[in-house]
Amino acid sequence: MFRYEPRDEQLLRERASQFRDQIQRRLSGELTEAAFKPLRLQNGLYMQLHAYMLRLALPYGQLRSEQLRALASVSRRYDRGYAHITTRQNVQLNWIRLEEVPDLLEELAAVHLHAIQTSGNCVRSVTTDALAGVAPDELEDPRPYCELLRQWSTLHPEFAFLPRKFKIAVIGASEDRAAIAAHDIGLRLREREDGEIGFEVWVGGGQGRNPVLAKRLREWLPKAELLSYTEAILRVYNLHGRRDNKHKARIKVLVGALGLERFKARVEQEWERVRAGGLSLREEDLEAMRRHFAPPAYASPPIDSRELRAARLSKDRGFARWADANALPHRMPGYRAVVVALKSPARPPGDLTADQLDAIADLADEYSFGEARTTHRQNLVLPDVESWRLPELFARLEALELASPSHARITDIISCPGLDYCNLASARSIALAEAIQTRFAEPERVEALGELHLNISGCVNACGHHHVGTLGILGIDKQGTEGYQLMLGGSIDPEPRLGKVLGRALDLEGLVDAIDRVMAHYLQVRRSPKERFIDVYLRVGPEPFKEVVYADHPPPRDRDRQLPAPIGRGAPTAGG
Amino acid sequence: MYTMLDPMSADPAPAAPNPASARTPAPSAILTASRVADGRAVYLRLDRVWSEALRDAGPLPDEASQQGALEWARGLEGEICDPYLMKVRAQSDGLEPISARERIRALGPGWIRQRFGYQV
Amino acid sequence: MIDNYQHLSDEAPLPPAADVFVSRSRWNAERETLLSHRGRVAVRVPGDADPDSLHRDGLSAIAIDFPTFTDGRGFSLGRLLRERWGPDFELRAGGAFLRDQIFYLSRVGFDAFELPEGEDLDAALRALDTFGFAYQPAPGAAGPDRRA
Repeated sequence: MFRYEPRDEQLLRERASQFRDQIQRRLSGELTEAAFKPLRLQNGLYMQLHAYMLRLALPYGQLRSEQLRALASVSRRYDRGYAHITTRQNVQLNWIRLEEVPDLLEELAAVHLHAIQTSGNCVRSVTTDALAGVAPDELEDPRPYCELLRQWSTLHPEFAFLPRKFKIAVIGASEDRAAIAAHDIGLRLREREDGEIGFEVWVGGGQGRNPVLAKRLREWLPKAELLSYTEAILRVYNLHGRRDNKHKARIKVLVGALGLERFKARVEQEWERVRAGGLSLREEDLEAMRRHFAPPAYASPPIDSRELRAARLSKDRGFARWADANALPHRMPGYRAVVVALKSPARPPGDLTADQLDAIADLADEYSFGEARTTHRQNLVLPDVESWRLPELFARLEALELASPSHARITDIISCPGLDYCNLASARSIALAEAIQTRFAEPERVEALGELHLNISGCVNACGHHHVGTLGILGIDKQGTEGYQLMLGGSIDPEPRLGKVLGRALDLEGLVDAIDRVMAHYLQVRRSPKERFIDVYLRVGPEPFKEVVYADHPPPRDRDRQLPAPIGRGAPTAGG
Repeated sequence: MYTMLDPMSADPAPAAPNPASARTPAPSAILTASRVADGRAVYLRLDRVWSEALRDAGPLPDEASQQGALEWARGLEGEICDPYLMKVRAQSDGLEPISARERIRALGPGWIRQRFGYQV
Repeated sequence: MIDNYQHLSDEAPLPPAADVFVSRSRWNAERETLLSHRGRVAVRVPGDADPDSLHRDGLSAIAIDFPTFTDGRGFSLGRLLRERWGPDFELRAGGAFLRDQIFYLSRVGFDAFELPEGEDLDAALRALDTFGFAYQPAPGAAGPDRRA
């Protein structure tokens, strides 16, 4: 992975020092909250329900074991001993004291971690596929380009006060594992007719209150112009994006208002000007960057996997089930990319303790060349594990409670922090995730249900990506009580598609029941185990599911609006 | 802690209440804000000291006292930020927030987390 | 920074041989007179001005007034002017901006800053050196070697 040079390290230190000064001025009252807020957001510091939340950047999801250990250390020292992985591959700490932030950042700067631009109206962390560089279907590794974009966007002086946040994702395969269809700019590496590889440029995707799928802006862009073209798009957005209404300020609104052709004309006009300047990349720049991401010293030929075969055939299906779900195909024979599942009834999706962070650091060193990745489904990946070692890795993960065979199954839940933490939320999402995990605690059933993406958002801002979940759930505030809307049929890949609301909102218990019924019906009507839920949904449509969910539900009783609705009604029991 | 329906009890909902019951007191307001030092939710006491405990909050019975407290709080830049009025109901053993959000804000995040020791 | 310019309202008479700042509308209305003025002439424009509507025309300086510090259009506007007109004019930041933005403003081409009343001058000068290095080339710079 990319190695910082002294100048990159210097930037982190200077940034931490700048923020230290700003915090001082805030604590002394010299800076008002109004002036301080945009500054602290550009350093990833949010004010939430209970405390400050600090969002640290993990650019394109890459982590070294030393960084995992540093995260464990700061979460113990400055937080409450756990961390949360987000849907943009970043990590969050939830209990930060303002005056400790500078020390925390300094400690992280030593291992090249930071919180620069993880919030605010600026260019955010660039995300990609967690399997970048190891996926067998990849045309080319997107990570060098992610790093180039990271450098170009970091402390970019012109684009720190955009109309709104700006998110970029890059993918190197045709399967959109980075959800580029839902990003402000999406870049896909693709091959031209003459065999040359460049970028397909997508623009204007985004979820939130008014979800929009990205439109293709340019069919093919030479790699050399990656930065110049992106700069042109940003400049047009900065100058012309709406600033009068926060909910109409994303680039998707500008693209919609101008129409794709007019928007493109402006971008291309600006680009003609920009590409004459210093942003064009030379072949040696690209080559130098690619060298940072050279593959590790894979064992070749791969070691015979007799133990692996034995483990798979054993009567205890635990290992086989886990390997089938979580040990993903790798481009090198004899290797797998292993999903470390941060999902179980006992934890909020994406959370892990400091002890687990330390343990995973050791596992990364022992099994995966010291490297780990975060995924947008809020898990971790050990990208380069030799297949013959899977049984022993499984045992170690099981001991750590990190071996849920959940990848791409119904228990692989994406959930935002929701009303338990977030100032913006309408309803709790973690409680719902835990209730669903408990309801679907039987591994055989989960395995039988097959491929599913269940995504929960606690409010319309859609940080849980509910619009593109096979099952998407939106938490709403129904006159002071928590309600949940179920939508079906969303997807990112192969066709980006927004889910459709099935019917009226339900309470937490009712929603868990609804999912149960939907799944039971799916098993009933599918033609074979190969027909996934999404396939059945596309075949039969929403009506049959609507019927089983709402058929014998009586209309809602007139509730006593004067008494508060209880939290925790229908809460799951211990032990899952 | 103040009175609140125990989230872990098997039957947290009260028996079918009569909406017109005279036992249900009218809501009043208190002032709450976030502490600058650590982001903690704090509540304003009658003596204009900020407390972490909701039960210490001074009820503001009318428009005048509410606006007065709010204006005063808005002038404090170093200690707290984002002050706002919050509806509560007075019960026999203390104040109770009306909204789910304020209950969580006062109690802390999910009780499940507390059960499994994530909260120190 | 000592401001050598007088800032004229739209109605104030033009002092002979003095350096003056005028509003955009006055500049448009009295361009002929101002072009033959014997002092230096500069114009103030709002942060949302259309870059294509502005022309060099012998101006010695241009001030961009930020309506609020969160409105970042002035950064792109300033940069475009610096790139188009080259180094030989003063690009001044005015209106609502924070001293914390001075480093970025200087990196996109601003070389003068109207500090608000009471702003600490030393702190503002120090802000110009917040970072010793930048990933992005400054306007007019060519090639990948980027130094602050």
